[in-house]
Amino acid sequence: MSTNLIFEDAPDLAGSLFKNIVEHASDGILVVDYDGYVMLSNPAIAAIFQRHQDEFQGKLFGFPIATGAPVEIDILRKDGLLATAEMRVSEAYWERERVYIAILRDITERKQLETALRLAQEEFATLCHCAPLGMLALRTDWRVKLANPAAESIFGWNGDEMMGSTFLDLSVPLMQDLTEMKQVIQRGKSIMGKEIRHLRRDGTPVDISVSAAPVLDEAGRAAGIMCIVEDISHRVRDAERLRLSGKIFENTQECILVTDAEGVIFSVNPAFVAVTGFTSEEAVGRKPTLLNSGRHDKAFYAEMWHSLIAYGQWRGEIWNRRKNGEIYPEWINISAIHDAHGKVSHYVAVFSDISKVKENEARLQRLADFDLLTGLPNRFLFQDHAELALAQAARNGKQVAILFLDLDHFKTINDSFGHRAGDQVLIEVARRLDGCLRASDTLARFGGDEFNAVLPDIDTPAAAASVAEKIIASLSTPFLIEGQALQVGISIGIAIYPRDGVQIDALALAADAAMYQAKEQGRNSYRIFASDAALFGTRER
Amino acid sequence: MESKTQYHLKLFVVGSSPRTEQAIASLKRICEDEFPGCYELVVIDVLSQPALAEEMKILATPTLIKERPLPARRIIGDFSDKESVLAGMGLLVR
Repeated sequence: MSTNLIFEDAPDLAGSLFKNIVEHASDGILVVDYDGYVMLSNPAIAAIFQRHQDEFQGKLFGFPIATGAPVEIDILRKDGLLATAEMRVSEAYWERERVYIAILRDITERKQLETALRLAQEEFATLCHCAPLGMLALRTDWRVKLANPAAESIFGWNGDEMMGSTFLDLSVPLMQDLTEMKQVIQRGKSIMGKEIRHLRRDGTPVDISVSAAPVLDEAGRAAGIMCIVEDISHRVRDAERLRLSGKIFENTQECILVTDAEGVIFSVNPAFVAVTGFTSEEAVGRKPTLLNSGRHDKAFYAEMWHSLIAYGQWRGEIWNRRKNGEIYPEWINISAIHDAHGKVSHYVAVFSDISKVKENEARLQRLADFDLLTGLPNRFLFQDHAELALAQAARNGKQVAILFLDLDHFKTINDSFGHRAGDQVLIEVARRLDGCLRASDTLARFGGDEFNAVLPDIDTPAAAASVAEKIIASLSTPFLIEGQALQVGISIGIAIYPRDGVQIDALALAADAAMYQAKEQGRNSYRIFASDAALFGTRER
Repeated sequence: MESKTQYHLKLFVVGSSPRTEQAIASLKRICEDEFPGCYELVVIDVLSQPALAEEMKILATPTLIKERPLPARRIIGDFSDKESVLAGMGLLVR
């Protein structure tokens, strides 16, 4: 069926040509009169409106207005869908009547594509803007085309400064790294998470992870490079800190034992293995009770746990048992470790074997109380023992003898045979004197050739006198020192508690005085304090 | 008593796209300039009143129908140029 009125009366060549063009044009063509009624329409119009051509012919469309540029209009299709068309309008005359030609091009698909593209761009821009990762679009020469805020902060440059700069300008990676990356991209391959250290604009080093992939054009050539950069400084630092902590744990001299919240051993360090003798495999999974020495009672451990629960910490001395059964003292510090929610997750015990320290303490104690040369108690320990003896005697109504002993002419031995020989004599004298005393007696060296003895619990002063005689006799045998026979005499003064005094000082003075009397009487003798001198007299050998 | 309103206009649009907003703004400006205080412009969204659009045989938007003064006229397309719009509505002496 013929679709137009114009050509019916013009079957000439031009008319036929025009008809052909209109019939086959891909753009819709409407010719309307001044009142907006359709004089002519083509199949493309029917297609754009999804309506039959009969719906246009002679019907009211409207007076089309498009001044200058094409105008976009919405098309109400028969099927209820909307389409978009671009309309151009021109004027013409047909049979002296002015007509208006509207050319409509369906741009629905183009508009949809434009919208989709715009949305995609907006989505991408939003993603880029919000992403915590640095995102860069680079040209093939590695110049920046696009950078997001995260990239700005990672590199320390603002967006404008970055544009057109190369990756090398932005950061100072090792050339080797950059060359490597370039080669990979040139081969059309992508880079996944390459970790490099670069310098920010202000010169501070930052560890970054770089992922990059080429964007290929239709011919498969790289048209650009998409690059994602992640600041991994924290991760690198954490890893380094972890490595260091591990090293400290492994190498410290202190024993470290870590348990979980239930007290099950989680890990131990080599120092622990060295001190306790338990290997890591033997300790892990067990409880620290495997070290119990049995020296502490339940109350001790209860107090320890109380402190751990209440204050998160306990420190002190504890006796533990090694795998070989040996018991040793340790100084230990236990701390509770809390998780992010404040709940105890682990306990860490750091301890050291202090048996050496203990031994040293004991040695220092001996140094304080004993004479180094002879091993006899010194003045201070003697004082303690003497006071103890006097106190006991006061309670029991007994007597105590205080003896002051001084070697005769000891200086001569030192001068003639040397100090070494003198020391040997002193050691031997101490041994012989000690041999003359009971276990309950105390013999002390006061320095030089002065000795003192306290004889607790004696029945009579005569008992002390007989000890003095025994002592003098013990020294009558010469000492064999470095192949020489040496002999030394001794003068002894005796004071009796409570007869000659009740205070140790008074008794010491009395014994001292008696000893000088013995010296004056010709040495190698003893003398009981003067008040009773007549009764017991002196005795010389 | 005769109503003051002499110009009765109906504008058919689709939704509230920028194109719609622009058409409404252009027409308001023209009406305020040319027929201040004596016009009525009714905007009809064909999406919410499809039946009315169908009844009025609206084929494309924006379409403006000048119902009064007679004769009624219908224009379609770009309403940004005052002269073209007035001419289209038959209100310009050519």
